[in-house]
Amino acid sequence: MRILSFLVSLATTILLAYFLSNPIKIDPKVTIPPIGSFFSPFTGFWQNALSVDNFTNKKIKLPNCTQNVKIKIDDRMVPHIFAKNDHDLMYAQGYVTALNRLWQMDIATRAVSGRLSEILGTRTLNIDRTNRRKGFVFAAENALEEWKKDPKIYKQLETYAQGINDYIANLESKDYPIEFKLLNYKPEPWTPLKTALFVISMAQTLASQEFDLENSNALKLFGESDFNELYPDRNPKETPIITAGTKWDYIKETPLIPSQTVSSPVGDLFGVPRDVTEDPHVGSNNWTVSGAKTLDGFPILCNDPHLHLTLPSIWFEIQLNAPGINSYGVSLPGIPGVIIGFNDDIAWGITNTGWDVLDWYQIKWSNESKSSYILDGKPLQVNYRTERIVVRDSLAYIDSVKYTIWGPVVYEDHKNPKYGLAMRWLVHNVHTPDEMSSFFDLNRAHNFDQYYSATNKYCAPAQNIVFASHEGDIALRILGKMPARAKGEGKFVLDGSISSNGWKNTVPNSDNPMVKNPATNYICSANQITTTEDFPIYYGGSFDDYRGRYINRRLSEMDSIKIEDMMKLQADPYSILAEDALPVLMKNIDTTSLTVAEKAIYNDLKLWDYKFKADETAPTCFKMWWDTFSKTTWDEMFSIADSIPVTIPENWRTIDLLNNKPDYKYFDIKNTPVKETGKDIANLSFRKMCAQFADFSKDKSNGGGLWSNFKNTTIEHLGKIPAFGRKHIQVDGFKDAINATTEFNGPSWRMVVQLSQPVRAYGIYPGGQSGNPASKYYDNMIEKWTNGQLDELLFLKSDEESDKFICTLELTN
Amino acid sequence: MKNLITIIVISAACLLVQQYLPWWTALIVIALFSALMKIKPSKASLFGSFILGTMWLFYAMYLNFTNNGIIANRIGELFKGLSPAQLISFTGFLGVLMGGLSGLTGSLFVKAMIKGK
Repeated sequence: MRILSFLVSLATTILLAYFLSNPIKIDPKVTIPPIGSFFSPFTGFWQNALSVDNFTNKKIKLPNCTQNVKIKIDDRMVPHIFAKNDHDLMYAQGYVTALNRLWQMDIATRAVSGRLSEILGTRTLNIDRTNRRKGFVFAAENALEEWKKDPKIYKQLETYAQGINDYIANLESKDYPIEFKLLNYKPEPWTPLKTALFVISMAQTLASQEFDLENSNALKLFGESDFNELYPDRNPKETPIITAGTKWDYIKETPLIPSQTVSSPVGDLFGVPRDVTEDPHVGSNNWTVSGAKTLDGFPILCNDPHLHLTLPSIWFEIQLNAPGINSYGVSLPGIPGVIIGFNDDIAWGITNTGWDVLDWYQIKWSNESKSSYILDGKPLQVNYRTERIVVRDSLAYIDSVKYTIWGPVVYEDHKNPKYGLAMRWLVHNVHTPDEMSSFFDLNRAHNFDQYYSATNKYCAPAQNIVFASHEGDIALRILGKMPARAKGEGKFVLDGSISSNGWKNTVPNSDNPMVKNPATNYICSANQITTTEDFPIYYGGSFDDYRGRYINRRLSEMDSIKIEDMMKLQADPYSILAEDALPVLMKNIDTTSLTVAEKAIYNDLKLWDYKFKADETAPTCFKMWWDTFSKTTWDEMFSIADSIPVTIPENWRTIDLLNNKPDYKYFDIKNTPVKETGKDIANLSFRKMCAQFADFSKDKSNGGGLWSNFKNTTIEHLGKIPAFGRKHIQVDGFKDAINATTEFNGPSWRMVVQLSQPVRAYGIYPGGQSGNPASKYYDNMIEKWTNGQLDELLFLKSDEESDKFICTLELTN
Repeated sequence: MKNLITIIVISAACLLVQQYLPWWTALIVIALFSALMKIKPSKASLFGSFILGTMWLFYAMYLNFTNNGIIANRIGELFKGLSPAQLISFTGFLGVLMGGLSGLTGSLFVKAMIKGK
């Protein structure tokens, strides 16, 4: 009996302890971490609150620090690293980045390398499979192979990794960032390959946009003459980055490209499912004005890159100081150096170029096993690359990806088993040994010449890098290796059976478009088209129409510019899309037949100033109206989008057609017996919008239909854990306004730098320096960012004292 | 007095192992001491509950206080809207439950050995 009661007690205790020590799967998407260790205040989430915002001076002994390094933390929690040599500087940057953003660094490289399933199980297997098939790891490995050839730079990457790894080595499981505890896994060592993967993931975000399948389908469905009418290459109202009249006589090295015609496959439509309404919304603004236009006579440089807004934020602010370098700005957790920033003499900022560097090739299999394909009439064996995807709580998944001369076969055409689609991406193998020294040198540059030679080494993803110096120069270069294309190449799916059907060379940076000290005294890039049509090298891509035009307009009007004016401009919610579209829509409305409620909305819109302000209703009405109008007009494309991707004409073209060709045949709604015109669609979509708005504003939680409620800007947690994100941010802005906030995207860092001496710099991002959700520095900057305010940045010339510092970490050997 | 010393000794051992080892090693410590010190079953479960319960409860309370409830509010939201107070209570409850069971098991082990002979 006593033995029995002991055994019962023992069994209960062990069973319960076992139950509390293992994750519990509630449904395929929700797994609860082991309750015992997660709730234990000694090991679990409570530990992440231990001394989180308690800043005290510390001495930390680290094995690979060669001399003493001081990391001073200021009251915005920005680390200012003062090192005595480059090695220690990189090492300390790795260390302090890991200290604040360790989990983010892990997850950021996991997605791109197709390793999510290792921690999340079968539910992410398809994402991993697609990412493996697109050859992202292949690209990173190619980059690394090249980087190893330049030992000096490679050593920097290793040192950076060592800083991260020495931080990890000192951790016990109770110190792990909370996400590791929630998802029940451990941090792993950092490697230069992971830095390469991070670069590739940025390229995936910024340099993989194309509409090849969509364009090919549109051409087949609508014919060539309609295609040219629906999708013109250039918007006549555009304001290119490099203004008209620029001489191209500096272009020397690009080989002459034969004016051959590129051939596209004929036959079936491509039925590869892609979400045509998906708009990545990644864009950015940068501009600079010369001293001639500013009040104090110094150039001012501004930058706000728009990216998917997340917590932790993609950016980490830092100052780097060692002999030969004193730079400040934002870094990407995973890449050494400052990416957007300034030093004592220069400032630089980046926006995405948008050139098309990803092409699809139709592969014709030469046998049923698909082990070879036809090239120039002969069969050629594919290369296999084995992808082993480890899946948590399940068997590993093995995928054999076929590589052609163009690249990996990503999609098989199941409707037509004779064909496959291979992806040719510049970023797969464009890398050079000194690619990574581009930012290394830029951080240390002091004038235009040094900026020029530093950026010459830049490879991918292609960016518009704007520059201003204390000496008074302003400039902008389009940077990144670009394919030397034949005219029109890359617009449609290409025939993969002809080896001459694609670029053979890349354009060197020295031949890319650039502008220096223009007569206008300002330069602006906002993802608009790069040049006027006379630029001698062909390029295609997707470009933004509205922000660039507005910034150009404002900068040309402004004079005696102050820092505050630039901050205000960065937060400007005015949109030329609304300015162009609304009057054209309004003049078509038959006001005599409107109900009282409709008339009220009509009048509201009539008075609207085209500013997408958070607390107004007119922007909501306009956005609802425009979306409905566009969807109804282009019903030919939207109705089949689920199975066959087709390009949607651009907004400016839609406005243009309504204004100048209201009887255009595409205005007719296909599945109605009557023949509609643009006027009909405008009226019909207006009434639909009124009903939709009434419905939306009825809901009490929508504040009567306010724009911010409709837009619903959300900053998601990187792992999509809702409690770690921020919802319903009441912020101004619109995709086509300078203040480009949307539901999930927006200005991810705002910076204004005046090149005086000392430099005066301001910055803010919608997040916080700490990656720990228990810290008040996790999301402390969101409030100011929402209001369009920027913080003054503490930039010191040397290791001096400041009352802004809250503690010092001293790294010693 | 003896009780107090017992509690202090077990608490100290529990604190020590939890600094370095997984949470469940505290259960082994409680069971071990309950057996070695030949504590009666009722008392052993009471001590175990008291020791681990208060330790987890007060430590969680302390960490929550110094953190102004930031992380508790977030984790509470994750667990269907639990308040920080409820999270702290649940943490304490886990300590009470597991501490008590371990004490009882250790104590019953001694009884089973002695009388079983």
